[in-house]
Amino acid sequence: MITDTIDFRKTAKNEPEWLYKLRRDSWSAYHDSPLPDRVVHLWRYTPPEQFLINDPHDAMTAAIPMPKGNGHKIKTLTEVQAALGYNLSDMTTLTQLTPELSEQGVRFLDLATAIETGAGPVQEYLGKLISSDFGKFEAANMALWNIGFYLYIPDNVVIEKPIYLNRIPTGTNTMTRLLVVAGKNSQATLIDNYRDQAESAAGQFNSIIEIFADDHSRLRYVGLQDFSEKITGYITQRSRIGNQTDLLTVQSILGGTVSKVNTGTILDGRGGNSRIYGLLFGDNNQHFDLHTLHNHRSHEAYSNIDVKVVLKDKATSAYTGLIRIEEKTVNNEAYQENRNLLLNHGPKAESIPELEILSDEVRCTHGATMGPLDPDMIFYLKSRGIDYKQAVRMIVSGFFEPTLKNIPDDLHDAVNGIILDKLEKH
Amino acid sequence: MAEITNNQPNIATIGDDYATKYGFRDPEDYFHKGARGLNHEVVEMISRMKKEPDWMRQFRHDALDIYLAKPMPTWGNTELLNSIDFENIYYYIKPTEFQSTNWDDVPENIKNTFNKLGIPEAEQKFLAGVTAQYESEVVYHSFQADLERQGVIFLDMDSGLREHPDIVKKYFATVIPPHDNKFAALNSAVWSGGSFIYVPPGLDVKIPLQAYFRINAENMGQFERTLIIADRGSRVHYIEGCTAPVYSTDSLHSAVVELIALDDAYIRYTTIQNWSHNIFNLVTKRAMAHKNATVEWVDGNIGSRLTMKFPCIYLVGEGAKGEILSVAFAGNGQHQDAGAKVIHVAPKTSSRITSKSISKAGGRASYRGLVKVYPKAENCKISVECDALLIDGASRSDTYPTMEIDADNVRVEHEARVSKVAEEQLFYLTSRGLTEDEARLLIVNGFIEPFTKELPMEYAVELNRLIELEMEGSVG
Repeated sequence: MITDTIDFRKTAKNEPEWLYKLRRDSWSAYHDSPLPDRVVHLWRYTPPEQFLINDPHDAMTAAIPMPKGNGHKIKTLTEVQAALGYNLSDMTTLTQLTPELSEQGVRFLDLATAIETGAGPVQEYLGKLISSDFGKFEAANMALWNIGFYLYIPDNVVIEKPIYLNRIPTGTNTMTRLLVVAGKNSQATLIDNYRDQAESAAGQFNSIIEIFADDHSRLRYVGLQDFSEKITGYITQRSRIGNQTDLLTVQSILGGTVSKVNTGTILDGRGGNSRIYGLLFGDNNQHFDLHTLHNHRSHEAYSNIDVKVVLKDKATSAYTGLIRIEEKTVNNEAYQENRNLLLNHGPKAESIPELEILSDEVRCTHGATMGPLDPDMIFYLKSRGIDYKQAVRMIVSGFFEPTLKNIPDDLHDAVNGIILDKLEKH
Repeated sequence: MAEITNNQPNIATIGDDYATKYGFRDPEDYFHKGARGLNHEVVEMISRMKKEPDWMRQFRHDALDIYLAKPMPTWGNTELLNSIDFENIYYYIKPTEFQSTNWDDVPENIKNTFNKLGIPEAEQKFLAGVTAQYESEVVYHSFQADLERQGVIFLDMDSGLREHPDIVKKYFATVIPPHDNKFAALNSAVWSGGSFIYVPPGLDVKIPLQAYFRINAENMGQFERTLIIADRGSRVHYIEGCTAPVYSTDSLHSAVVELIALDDAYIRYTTIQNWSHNIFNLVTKRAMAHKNATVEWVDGNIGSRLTMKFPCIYLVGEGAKGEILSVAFAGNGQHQDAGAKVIHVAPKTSSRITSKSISKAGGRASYRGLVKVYPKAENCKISVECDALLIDGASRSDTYPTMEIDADNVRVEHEARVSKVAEEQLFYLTSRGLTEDEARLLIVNGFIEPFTKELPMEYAVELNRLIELEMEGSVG
């Protein structure tokens, strides 16, 4: 029984009563709720059955043992990193933080440890943006998560260098969470990298990210998903930003067989600024499903969404995006753009950029385009002596460039490398 | 600008006589007012009374079964949809037993209605034939002799079925089968009236054909069935306009409109929908465009409580073109859930959707669209543009476009903009001596101008007047 496993965690891992209750309730919510309705746009293009947890007990406990005689070498912080966190295939998590930041009160550690030791505020944030009512598979994560990271940045702390997070699958069902609590006037960049290792088996990967950004903070979240084609990914992210807060979210979705990503920002304070960039490149039989949300609940806030999709071979992608401006809010601006480039015969792209506007003091636009490579551009480049392959490379790089500009330099090259690899592959 | 100030000296009082002008209500005087509610007996009664052929009777019964089996839609404004009391509706009323061909024979009270609406003048000036739908049966029907000579068939649907059963049987329900959706099934079971038009090959019908629809009985549903067939290389423009008296209880209007444009043909279908604010307008409209044919829907939605209408074009022949131009105006308590669908089935087809919506005084306007390109439909071009104007903070505007592209070499562009009336524009106009009311009206008229300029003159005038009525008092 899965509830026994949850009980076991309570006793063996010292999980507090509130978390125990949250897990039990979330399990009921997952177990009792029907599959998502395919009528809603969020599920129109991706069958939900594939995200069901086949063996919940296994999801919580089964890890891939570390290869024998290959004692894991602890990675150390490099010059360019402010902090580094990663998990191993046996479900252990490791975190490192520079001593200076630690002294300033920054906390970066395993989520379960943070709860156990009371290293920072967790209870009032965990599951508050993505509760078990959010959706069936979000409830599953809340009940079963066993790999978690927690980042707490006190007021007025500025972290110059990026914080790195590496996450790998730990079995057939990986359940991982990230909770970020950023205080007033704080600043940070977080790079969240998903990839699997050569020895990983086929499996599902379910990740939940909650980001709370208090007034006047400036955060950058850069997600990079580069799983092998053995992994089915399900990633849900929500951020809530306060007054005059600036949040940049980048979702680079490049790997996995099926990847369903739901990312969104609640603009909860006056003068908030949220930008979401999506960068998707699919090849072979990959299927991507990206949903974005910008929910304006306050005044004078600005939001912008820019989703770029390139597809080749038989890859498919679906983009659904919603901008919702709540009643009685004034002077919000919201923009949304989705561009799809289909490189050859075979790929399919769907696009549903939605608007729900309940206030008139607003400026809102959205646009979507879909099309093949522009033959005029190819012709122009060829006439300059550039061969077809190189021309395609240039056009795709140019297509992604505005998005790549928002990614820190070292990651920029990594992402570009993956894109070029995919272009070469046949 | 000057015209507005001169011609409307007192904008505040415009529309004060709306109730007497448009909301009048004649005492009900009907021969066969059937019972409320719907079952196989009612369907049998309708079919018998119309002396229909057996296949149509069977078709109605089958459709009723489909209707009863289908669940209500679970999307859209389900709250309003579920408030419809289907048991409390008359599914068939026949106002007079004869078909009028001569204006003088039309009963006096019905004529009053049309006089107030200005139909005869419109006919004199612009129209080739008038099929006015008053209640469930066509009572007045005139036709210009020369059109008839050319072989154009322009009848109400019931007469069409009687006089041209072969054509009707060949095309009826081929574009919208009863199992398409619940309301199409309902219409298929109880349809009555509507227009039937057949244009022979190569003929260009120069003057627009028009029918005027009107609901005049409380709780009475109208289920028109319109079928337009433009044979090879022909051209036709059909105009449907609606006004309805203001009533206290809800009424249902659920039409089915099928257009078939054969090779190289051209059909334009223009609608101005202005049902009173308690009417549910749940309409299925769909067109088939064959090789190199063109279909255009020009669709204006001003009235009704809830409209759900998504004119659709199937581009099934190579080189076919489709255009949908729509305007929705949502006032207090209204939800205009309108949109457009284009399905590209054949290669080298192109389509353009332009949607404009205005929400005010708590109204809600939604654009719900679909662009679908099937795998074989290569080299298509699609452009979608949605603009929404919000007049005040209580109103709501939604955009739900869907694009599914399964073919190569397809170019799709979609754009939507939502904004309020720009302060700079208001300031400029008021600084030129216009009142804020006038300025707003001018901006709104400018906003929908791409739509109005596609309308025949008297419709454009009527639409502007309706917008004026709707806009009145929007300030303060």
